[in-house]
Amino acid sequence: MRTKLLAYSEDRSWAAQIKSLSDSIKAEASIFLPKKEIAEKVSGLYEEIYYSDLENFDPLAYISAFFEVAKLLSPEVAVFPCTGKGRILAGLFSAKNSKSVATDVYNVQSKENNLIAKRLVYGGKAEVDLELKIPATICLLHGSYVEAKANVESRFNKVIKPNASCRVIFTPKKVEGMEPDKAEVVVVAGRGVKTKNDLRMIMELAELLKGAWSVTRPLAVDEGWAESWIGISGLMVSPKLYIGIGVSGQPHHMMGARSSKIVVAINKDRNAPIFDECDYGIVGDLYVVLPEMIKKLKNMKQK
Amino acid sequence: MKILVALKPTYDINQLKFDSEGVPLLETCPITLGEADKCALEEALRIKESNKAIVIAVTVGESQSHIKGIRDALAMGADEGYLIKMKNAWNISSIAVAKAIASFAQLTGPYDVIFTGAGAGDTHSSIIGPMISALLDFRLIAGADQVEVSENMVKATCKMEDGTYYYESDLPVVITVTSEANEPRIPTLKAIIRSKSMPIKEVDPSVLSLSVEEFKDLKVLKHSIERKRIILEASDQKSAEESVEKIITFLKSEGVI
Amino acid sequence: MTGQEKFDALIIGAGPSGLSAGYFLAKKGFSVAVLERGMEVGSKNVFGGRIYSHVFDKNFQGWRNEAPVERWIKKEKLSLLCENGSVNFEFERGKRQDSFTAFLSPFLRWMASLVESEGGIVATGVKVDSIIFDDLFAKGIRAGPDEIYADYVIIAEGGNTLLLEKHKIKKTPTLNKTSLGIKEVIKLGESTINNRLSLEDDEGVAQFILGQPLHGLLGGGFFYTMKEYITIGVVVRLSEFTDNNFNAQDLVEDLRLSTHFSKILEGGTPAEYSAHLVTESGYEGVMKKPYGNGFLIVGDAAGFLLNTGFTIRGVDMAVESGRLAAEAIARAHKEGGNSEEQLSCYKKMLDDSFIMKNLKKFSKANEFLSNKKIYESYVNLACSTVSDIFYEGAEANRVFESFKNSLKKERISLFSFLKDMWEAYRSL
Repeated sequence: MRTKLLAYSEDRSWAAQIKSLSDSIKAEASIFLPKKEIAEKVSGLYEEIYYSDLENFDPLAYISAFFEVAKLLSPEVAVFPCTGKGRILAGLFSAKNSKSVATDVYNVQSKENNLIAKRLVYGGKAEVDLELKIPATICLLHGSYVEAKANVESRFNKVIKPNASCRVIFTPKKVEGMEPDKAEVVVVAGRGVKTKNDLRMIMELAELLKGAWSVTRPLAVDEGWAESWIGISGLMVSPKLYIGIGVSGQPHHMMGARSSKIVVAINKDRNAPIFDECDYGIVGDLYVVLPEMIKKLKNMKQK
Repeated sequence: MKILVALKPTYDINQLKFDSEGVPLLETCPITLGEADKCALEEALRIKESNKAIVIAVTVGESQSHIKGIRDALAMGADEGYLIKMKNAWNISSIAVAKAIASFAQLTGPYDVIFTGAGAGDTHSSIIGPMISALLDFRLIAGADQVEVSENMVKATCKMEDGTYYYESDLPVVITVTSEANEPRIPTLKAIIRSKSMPIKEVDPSVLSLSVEEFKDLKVLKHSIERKRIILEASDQKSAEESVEKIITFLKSEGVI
Repeated sequence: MTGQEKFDALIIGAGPSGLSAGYFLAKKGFSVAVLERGMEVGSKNVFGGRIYSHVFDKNFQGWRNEAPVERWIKKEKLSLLCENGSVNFEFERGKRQDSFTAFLSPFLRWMASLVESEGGIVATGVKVDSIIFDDLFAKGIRAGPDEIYADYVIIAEGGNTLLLEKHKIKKTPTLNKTSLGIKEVIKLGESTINNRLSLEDDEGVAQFILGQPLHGLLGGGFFYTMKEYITIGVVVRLSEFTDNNFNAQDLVEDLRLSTHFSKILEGGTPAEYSAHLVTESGYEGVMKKPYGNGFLIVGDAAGFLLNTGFTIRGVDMAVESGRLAAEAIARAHKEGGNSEEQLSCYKKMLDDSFIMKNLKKFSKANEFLSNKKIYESYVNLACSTVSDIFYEGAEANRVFESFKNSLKKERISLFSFLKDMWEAYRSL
């Protein structure tokens, strides 16, 4: 009998990545999404698509709707995106319904009746192979699997909206430019960038490369220069090109960009840890290197 | 009001090194209470100061680092400190840890609020708080940057990947707190001396009717992604120009720009 | 509930001397608190590796079974490293276990547990801002918002004597009397260490190095075996760094990569790197009066540190000075006071102890060791003499002939060589 997998997602990209994981272990996949509008976007990826009528993220309401589907299907594996919300839901679900749970997973294999998962720990510095007993809950890292293509007929099933557990007011974040987790190029400013005004150079470079810009956590949280950041507690990205400018490369930040295809670093400090995990690096003052890079790219564009 | 704070000592991963086979040198890596855990305790202590509450600190494990963690919590101002005695605390699955804390809460409760850090410094799974909430059927506020707890309600603000959520919830509630929530206090000498005479109570897992299954790590190794590590120097304007020129050529040949 | 705000004795610093004082006082029934700046006992201590056993044998019953000893020193080595080879002196001990290697952090945690088992308090994360003086008597300490009082204050703050300098009890040491110690800890594994150094079980090596990897700077290298680790490092006069363009970390690297060590350390993983200032002014630097009204000074803070030329020795002296301070306090307490006169017995005890005897014995060492010739010319002299003796060419050399040739090569006159040897004999 095929392993039954139940996925959770809030967008098509994640749904497609989890489907790809499911295909790789030859599982029979179904998915739950909080709203009908999102569910419709996933059409063709999963045969059985469940959705509800959930509003702003209320963890207990969300998980009870997901649990309704789980009761129906009794999945051996539940897979959530490794995002802030995904982790919360994975915790809520696994405590009562799973024998094992792993977050930050980037590869899953089946072994006899169980699963072997590879997960990152210590801010992505180390990897652990885990044997997960079924039923298991997994939080999948962004960019670990390529997005699956639509190739099935989907059936849509509605789950009754559960009661709210609390009052929620949601303020969506302002996105200046492209969203980093959807962009192919991400330019990130770190501590080496001295003033908020200097972020303009970062934005300019991002724009020239048709990419998104972001910052490291201290710049978002301590300085308040941006609403989100790249890192284990913020956005996890997997672009084709990551450029860290004045980024030292602390593990919790690098974890958020580990699966980038190419990593470029510009930093004054030759000993910054980012130089150990980059493809191309320039040791130098960002205030000299960056304007030069912007100038050259502009010239290229004009030609 | 009765408040439980669940704490976990963690490896300082910034100082983690690996041997030539890629096995992490955990024995030389310093261990301390995670920053988010300290912020969780600080929130509890602030409630205690304004609302009269009893604050109880608990950790799962019995190593010197666990004892030190609870000592630090007592010095910061927790009223009581408990160790749930388990050997090899580092290898216990998060489900077992959550179950241990949940049964401990049932045994010593009822609690109005259970605080914990939103993520530990080493694994940063961020799932223990939600698990405890599920096991005890408590409400849940996860990843709070700002918390305000009153007699029968909690108001909190949580930053997530898509924006900011403001929550109002009833009690009892599990609240996980980020390291941005506050500036945890540094215990004064008098507080440290006072805490030295406070007992650290030990709880045997059998009292909590737990069967603890150890988590089997098949292997732990350095995670290395093959990177080219081509490093250029830009010590002056001229070398900066040259380096930038080269990098752009590289990136073009990689097909990423 | 209020905390205790008065102790019999407060001890500033949880190094070997402070913890020793705390232990012996607590054992005698005094209420004590040992206050440590670091977040953990031992977190601020950098230590190269060897401790002498005698102090513990005499005063700490059963310590050999409890203390976190890494290895017992079996082989003593002195190596003179030159461009083309090295001259090595090795002494292998019989069964006696006179010294051992240890990591100071766990060792101090063990000592702290002794203090606590006798009812004393060891508080970490406490920065003592100042000593409270009242009527010229030390009455307690200030730490942040808190004032804590005591009949006796013991200053055990280590080589970085901020409090002593603040209260003008001691002058700031000059640069040329201060050395920089840099240490690397390298993981090699127990069996690899035993195989490569021909050791069995918990036998260990203590090795001192002079010569080429140090580029003729005033200083030496050390190498110790721990159970699973090697500690390797250098101690160099701080003034050498201001005069020369040397990076301290590079020196350790040069030592590590020298032909002598590269094979031994092959495949090892650096686990720790640390740097530490050592004031090693020898007998001259010892405080003439390590006590005053209501206070005593112990360990490195009082200058009880010995540079014998090949080794910096301090832990045994620190522990003994802590024990003597406790004895002195017990005696003064019996007399019902804490005045300078009542505490002056501490000085007499020190003079009669191995601490001052050793320091006196080596009092000339510091001066002798400032002789730059030792670090370069004499090392080369030794190497070229020995290599001449073992000359593999057709013509065999006589020993004195070889020596004379080498002197000529190094441009050392026979007279100045003899003079320096006489100095060495007198001071080492």
